[in-house]
Amino acid sequence: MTDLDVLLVSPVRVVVRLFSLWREADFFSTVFSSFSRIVLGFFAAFVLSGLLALLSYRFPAAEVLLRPYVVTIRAVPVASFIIIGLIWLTTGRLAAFISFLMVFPILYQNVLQGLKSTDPKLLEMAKLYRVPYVRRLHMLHLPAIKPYLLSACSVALGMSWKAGVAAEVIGMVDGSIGEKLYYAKIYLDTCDLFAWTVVLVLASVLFEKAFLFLLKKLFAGSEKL
Amino acid sequence: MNDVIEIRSLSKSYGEKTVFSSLSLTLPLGSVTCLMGPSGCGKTTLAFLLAGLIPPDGGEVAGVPEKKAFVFQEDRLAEDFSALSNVRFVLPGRDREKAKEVLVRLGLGEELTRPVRAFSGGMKRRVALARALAYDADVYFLDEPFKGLDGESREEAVRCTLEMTAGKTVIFITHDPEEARALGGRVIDLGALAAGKTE
Repeated sequence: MTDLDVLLVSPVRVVVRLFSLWREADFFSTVFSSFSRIVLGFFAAFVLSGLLALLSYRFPAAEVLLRPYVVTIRAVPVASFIIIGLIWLTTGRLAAFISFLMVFPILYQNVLQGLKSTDPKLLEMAKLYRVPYVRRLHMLHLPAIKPYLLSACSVALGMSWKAGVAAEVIGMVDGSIGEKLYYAKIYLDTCDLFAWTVVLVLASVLFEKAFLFLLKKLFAGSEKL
Repeated sequence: MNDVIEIRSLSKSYGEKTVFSSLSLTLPLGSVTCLMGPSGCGKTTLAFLLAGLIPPDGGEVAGVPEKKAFVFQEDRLAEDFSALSNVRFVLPGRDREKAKEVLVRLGLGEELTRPVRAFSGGMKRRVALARALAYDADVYFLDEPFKGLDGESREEAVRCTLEMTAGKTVIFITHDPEEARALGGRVIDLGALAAGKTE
């Protein structure tokens, strides 16, 4: 390794390292470890933001009560949350916690906005015909939420990976991608840093594509009911 | 139980524009009443007031049956969903057979599962009409329900409406005197009444 390799490693060396990386014994367990934590945080935020947005939509007082928390979560720097998480939680749960916090306000605000954008004339029609609430949710609110949710998920998924791995780096979470990045920093191993970053980007993009594909399928399926 | 809908000293304004000031009239239950008159005379407003969709500024309405169906001036359909889903949406138990039956009657048998978004204006109108007719209401508010229909589809829509609402209260809004005659029943010139006269 030359001094130059520390500053900027050649793409060929990164590709070679990538091929050797996936053959290492702990490669898949490392990727799976980070993946499971970050995705857990994302799904927890996905479910909770949906439920709370629905609550806020039905009861405006709930929206007023939740607003300061949502604004605070959005405004506080992720590093502060990571340090709070290190004090409160075990390092294993840190990435899920941070991923949750980064995703929650984005999804909550977008789902709520989607609910509010439901055509009031359709709601008036449903009220006149005394349509049950679950049916209104399915046929009137869900199509209104769809564009908001898809674009919010697209943004939030990328953020959950970035913030989750940042938490792993700072928290030195055992057997995670973040830990690998931390060691790359300690040993000035730029080649490893780039190779793991490529793995991270691939995992993030693949998950985002798969999740959005499934979400679109779900919406399309619900329109056929 | 009353056999009429009573409208007493009803008044309604939108900002500076007064639609009704002290309108009083009675509408028979169990038959067709056509509300006619020039644009802006308050036909739709009166239907909305009777259906309880907007509150009056003064006066009162009594005797309107609870179970209502409404064909709005705009179709008000869930555009991503099929014609069948749109009709089933309002039916108790999402009665598939009933929805299908009415849509077939209105000439949409081949289009049951196509998303409404792809429909023409006339087809959307028929879906909106089918939704109201399939619903077992006590009173039907039909605000220009045959708008955009022509020829055979219009005749079938009128026939179907008459059959399916027989013995029920129908408040029918139209500009077209021929259409009013086709549906029969009492015709009220709201243009004259809205000026403040009591029938």
